[in-house]
Amino acid sequence: MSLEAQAIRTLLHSGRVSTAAQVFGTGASGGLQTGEMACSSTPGLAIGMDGADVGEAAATREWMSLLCAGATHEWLCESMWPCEQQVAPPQAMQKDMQGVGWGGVVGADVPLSLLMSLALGVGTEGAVVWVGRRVWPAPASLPRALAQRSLLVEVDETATRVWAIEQALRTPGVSAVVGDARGLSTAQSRRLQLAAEAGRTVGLLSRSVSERRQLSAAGTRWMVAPVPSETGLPRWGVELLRCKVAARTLGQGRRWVLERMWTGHNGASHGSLLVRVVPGLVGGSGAGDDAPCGWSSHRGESRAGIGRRGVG
Amino acid sequence: MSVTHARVLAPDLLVHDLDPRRDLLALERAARWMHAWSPIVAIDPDSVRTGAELMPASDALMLDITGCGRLFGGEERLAGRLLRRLVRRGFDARVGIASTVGAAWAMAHHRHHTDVGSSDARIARLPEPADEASRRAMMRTLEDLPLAMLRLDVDTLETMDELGLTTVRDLRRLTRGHVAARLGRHVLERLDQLFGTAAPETLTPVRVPERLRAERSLAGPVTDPHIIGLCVRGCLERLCRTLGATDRGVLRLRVTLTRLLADARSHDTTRRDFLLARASHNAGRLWSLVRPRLERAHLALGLEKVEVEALSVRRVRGEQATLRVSAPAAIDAPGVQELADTLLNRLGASSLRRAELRESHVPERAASLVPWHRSADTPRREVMWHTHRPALLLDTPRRLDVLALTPDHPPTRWRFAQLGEPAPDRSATWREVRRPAIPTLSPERIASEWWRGEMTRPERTREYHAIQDESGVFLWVFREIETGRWFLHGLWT
Repeated sequence: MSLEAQAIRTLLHSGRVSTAAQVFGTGASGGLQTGEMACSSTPGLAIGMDGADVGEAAATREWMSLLCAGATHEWLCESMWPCEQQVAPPQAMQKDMQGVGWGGVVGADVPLSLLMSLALGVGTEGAVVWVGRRVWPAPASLPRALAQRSLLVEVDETATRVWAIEQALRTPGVSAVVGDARGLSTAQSRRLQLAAEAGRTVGLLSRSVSERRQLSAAGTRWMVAPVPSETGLPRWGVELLRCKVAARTLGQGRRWVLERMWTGHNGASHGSLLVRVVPGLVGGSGAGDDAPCGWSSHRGESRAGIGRRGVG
Repeated sequence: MSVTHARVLAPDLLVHDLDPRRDLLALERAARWMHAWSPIVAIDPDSVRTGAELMPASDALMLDITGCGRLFGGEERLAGRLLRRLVRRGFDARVGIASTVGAAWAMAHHRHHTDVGSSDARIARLPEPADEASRRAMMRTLEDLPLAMLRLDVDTLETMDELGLTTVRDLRRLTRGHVAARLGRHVLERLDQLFGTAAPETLTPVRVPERLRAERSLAGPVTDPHIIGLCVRGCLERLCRTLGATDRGVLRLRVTLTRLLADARSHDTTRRDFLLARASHNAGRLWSLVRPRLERAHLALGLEKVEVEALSVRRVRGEQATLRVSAPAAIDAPGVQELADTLLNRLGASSLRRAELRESHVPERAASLVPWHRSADTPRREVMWHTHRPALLLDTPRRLDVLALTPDHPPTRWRFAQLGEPAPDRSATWREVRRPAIPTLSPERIASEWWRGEMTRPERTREYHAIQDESGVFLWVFREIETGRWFLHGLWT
């Protein structure tokens, strides 16, 4: 991290955030990580923050800085379906689903809210491409700003899916690609990473938990699980399983607790985030002590563990 | 007579089913082709009507050849050439030429032409009367016509037959008032149309669909990809210039290549269709679509002709410069358009969608995913937009069993409804509901949209609650007010 970036970070902590946004926009572009640049271009992070929220904003920014442009980011998540019930995919999955919001148990292992928020946070312009029906959010849940620039692509076969994601990542004018990346080989993940680098886009790839041990060339890899919430707003815990994009201090094993925000009447109308980092619940970097695979080993216990750590 | 009977009488009988629709289509094709002789060609409206009623269609085409005869050296020579071309195509036809539509129709349909001076028996021409004598001769010819030549319906013809009327002359002897009273006004109208005393009939011309195409013939078989590329590009540019002048763009493009086959004598054509996400008259964009396919095309001994045709066009709205720096046109950026084209052509038209808002409060109807090329170009007017809907909505809500303090309270415990035999998994166990839940969202009551008029299966009023499962997942459940049944509708994943 360069000196300018650190100076800006200090500025952030000092509480004068509205000016910091300007600093982000004008100077220091060479020294900052691209992720931070992406953050700086999201007005939602800078607008409406008073002194009390600065810690939270800094935490959110720090978390966002890992999700830099020009890289792919993999998201692992166990099914959030409330009980281990095997259910056949709903009828509408098979064929036509026009006119209805689709969904079902099939997509329950994709952290859609987070991906949606990130796609929104990457930039206020640029199209967002959703490849694979498993990662399609219900159209009614898309924020208006996102719905207008979303392009949803339906692909089944893995090779074609990778091709479609790669095409989208390389396209100028696309800011983020959310892709269903189950069954991705290491070589294919390298292809996608190169495509993201070439196109300076963000690739958000959803992978299945069973592929956690598989090598990949992605910039970061995250594990997501829902966390019980005291505020009455949905919360998720994210753990950084692998990280190639940032310095070691931000490195792997760190955990964050994210909370869904409701910005009132009409939701996020422009590029603001839909989630925030809950500052008090940010975990330490020592992830190695308990289960190394994070929260996935046993859902109930590990989730409770996160909650305890945060409160205590 | 039955077909079997007919077959006994004539063993080598050919039997074809009557297909008025196809007859009419063939007639339309012939009508389009007739534009070589006249700019105004119409199909006899009677044939159109009977065609729809699955009755044997009349098969008359009407050409307004006013002034056209001079181009062919006289109206008769025009008719002669037309007939010869028709015969070569396998049609048998007769031509009638007269100064009114009614008379021309009668001359074409009437069988004996002995009194009409013409070199060809199939052409009957009633020349424009030059003097009083020829006018009287023309009247005589017309009056000799049988009544069936008046284009009347069968019932009227039968009535006239019963009255002992056989020719037009018989009818003209009667008082006009009596004819109108006994047979109907339409008989008088037809009579006037025949003699040209009524207002001239209007013809409804057949429209010729404009073929938007450009082609390039090559002097000899060409295999050089560079030259072929230049030719196709040139064709695309010409096509786009034509379209651009009228503010239209291609939606479906067809490229046809005529190849010389390996025996160096015969040809065949290969064609490729291209789909565009948005109508465009940008030759560069079309070329970027066509080029990859062209490079892979099998050329055989070489190409002799390339042809580019716009199969479907749509209006393209001009871009207007705006004051706003960031117009919400992310999806219409050229790069994204190109991506959409690429994906469309590999994955198919329905695999590309975008979200469109609807005016509805019912969550599954509030927005829908429409195929990209069918989506509206401009966003509709502002619609109420609920962002707090869960990211995962179930197509069919799942029944739940719920424990609540009172029926209209949010649930305290829930499980999936046990329908039929108990499930082997853990869905039978009751699960706790954690507090608190999303405070601003529940309860939310959504009434049925009665104005949609679904009387057969009326929707019920739903009361939605956002609850927190013991695992921390937020669920969107609702209770049907009328029945008190609970359902799971979505998850905030």
